[in-house]
Amino acid sequence: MIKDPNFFLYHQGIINPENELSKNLENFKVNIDYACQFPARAKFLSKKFLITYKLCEKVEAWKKGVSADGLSYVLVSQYVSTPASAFGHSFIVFKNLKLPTNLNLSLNYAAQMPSDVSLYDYFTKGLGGGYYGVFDFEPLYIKLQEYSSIENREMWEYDLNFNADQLDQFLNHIWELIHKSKEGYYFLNSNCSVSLYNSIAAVHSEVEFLNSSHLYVLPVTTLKQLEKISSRQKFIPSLREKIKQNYENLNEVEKHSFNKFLIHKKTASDLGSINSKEIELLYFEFLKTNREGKLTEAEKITYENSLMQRSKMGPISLEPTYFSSNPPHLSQGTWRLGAGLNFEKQHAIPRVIFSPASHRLLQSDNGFLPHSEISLFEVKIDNQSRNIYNLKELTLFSLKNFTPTILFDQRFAWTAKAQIIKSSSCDECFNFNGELNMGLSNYIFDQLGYALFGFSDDKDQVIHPQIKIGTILKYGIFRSNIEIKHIEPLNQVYNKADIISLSIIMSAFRNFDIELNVSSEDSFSQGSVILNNYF
Amino acid sequence: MNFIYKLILFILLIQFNAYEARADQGHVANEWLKLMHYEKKMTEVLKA
Repeated sequence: MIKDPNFFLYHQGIINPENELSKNLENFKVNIDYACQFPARAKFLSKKFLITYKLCEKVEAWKKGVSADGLSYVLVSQYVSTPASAFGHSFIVFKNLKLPTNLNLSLNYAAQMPSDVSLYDYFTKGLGGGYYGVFDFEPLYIKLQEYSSIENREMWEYDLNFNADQLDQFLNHIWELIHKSKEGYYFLNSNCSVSLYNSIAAVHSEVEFLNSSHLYVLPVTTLKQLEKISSRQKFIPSLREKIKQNYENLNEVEKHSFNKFLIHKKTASDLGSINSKEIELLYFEFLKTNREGKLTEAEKITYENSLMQRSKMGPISLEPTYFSSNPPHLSQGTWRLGAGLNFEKQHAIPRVIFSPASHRLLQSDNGFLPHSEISLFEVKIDNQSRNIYNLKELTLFSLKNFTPTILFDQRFAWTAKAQIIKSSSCDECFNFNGELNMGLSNYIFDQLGYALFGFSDDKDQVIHPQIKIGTILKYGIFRSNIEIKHIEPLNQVYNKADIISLSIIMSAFRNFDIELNVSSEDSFSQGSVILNNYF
Repeated sequence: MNFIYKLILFILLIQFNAYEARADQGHVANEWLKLMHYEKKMTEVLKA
């Protein structure tokens, strides 16, 4: 819903659509500047009430500049370094088939923040609508450079079915929003994806507005709504993913040659194949974007040699196609409601789990960073005995990121968790449990393995160092996580030093799965079976 | 009893006609409401 009074002509137009319509009709007939101020409304009124009018030259010239003959919606994957992008980002591309793709214009909606914003302001004003949202246009190549090369984020582009009339009205509507509506930007439910989605819904008959009562809306939620009017999908890999897929497509000789190049950092004297030369150039592009364009003198010479060699090889016969194994429109919902049994001390206790924002490590990767977890405010409630329900655990946040190493790009794997757990010794007592780990993760025989070192503040309120080794295995609809945790006790109170845990998830349907958890914490007598629904 | 059945049927018929009439107006109304980002529930207050 638009809240800026400047968008309405009737003084109570914000709540009175009937009088707003009358006022607009009246204004349309007498105000010669009406079509320049409200081109979308002018077009609508002219069509419905058969009123002829003169198009606004200023608006028509602007639309000609945008020069669009199609529209697409782009979802950018998560970026954990920026809290506002932790669940992804989205923008619109105005497609012109006569132009090279990179010269198409993109439309973004973002919070207008000062560059030196403090962390406190970022969160309080970002969550509370303290900054205005602004639309801005940029050539697509700038967005590709920013997201794909510098931030190494995957993108999925969904072409939307818009006819010429709808497209024209969409531009008219954007003009009105830019010039007549200044709205607060709320990270959670009035963010980039909501504003862009609602601008589409305003002019497209097959798209309905999002319910404004949502606590939060993720870019992937709006994408799922738009998928029904999408005709074609395209995966735009990050530079990192591009190098990975190019490398996987090399033959053994080419792989060997590139591995040698990485070790010696020198271009081979023979030309080699186009594929191996292309990946050398991608490698330098990767180095440059990671070092703000700077190369060492030796690297510059090697880069020039690679470029010279590539220039002798002519054009590539077939543009490489990149494959995405996790298209976001197939993602699961982020609200989680689970029910099942918790086995503790040889008793089976009914358990309910709820989280308003959850994507767990073993869930499908669609729409999320592979091998990652973001789970917020997860509550576990046990039905101890008839009519007695106990809060067993409240997880404030649980974050995991196991980005595997590829070739030359080493990333840290890390996890962080903060939770409040009911004490086993006292009925009314709760303990705080925090955990922070860092380490490495990599593929071993096509399955992910990781090793982490960190600290945990467990039941005795003392911080203990710990080591974790684990693996994430995938077999069809099954996913499992086996983890061995060794805690180095710093006092005598804590005696459960080595814990083995196993989690298995069976996910036969998109929004349902069954999970089994077993842990050796209490002589293997602790475990649970939970049926989860994601919505 | 028979009279009550007929009365209920009559009321339903009127309601159905009214619903149809609203649906006809709804097309124009809905387009205007969407263009102005109004909540959908306002459809009922708008006469095209």
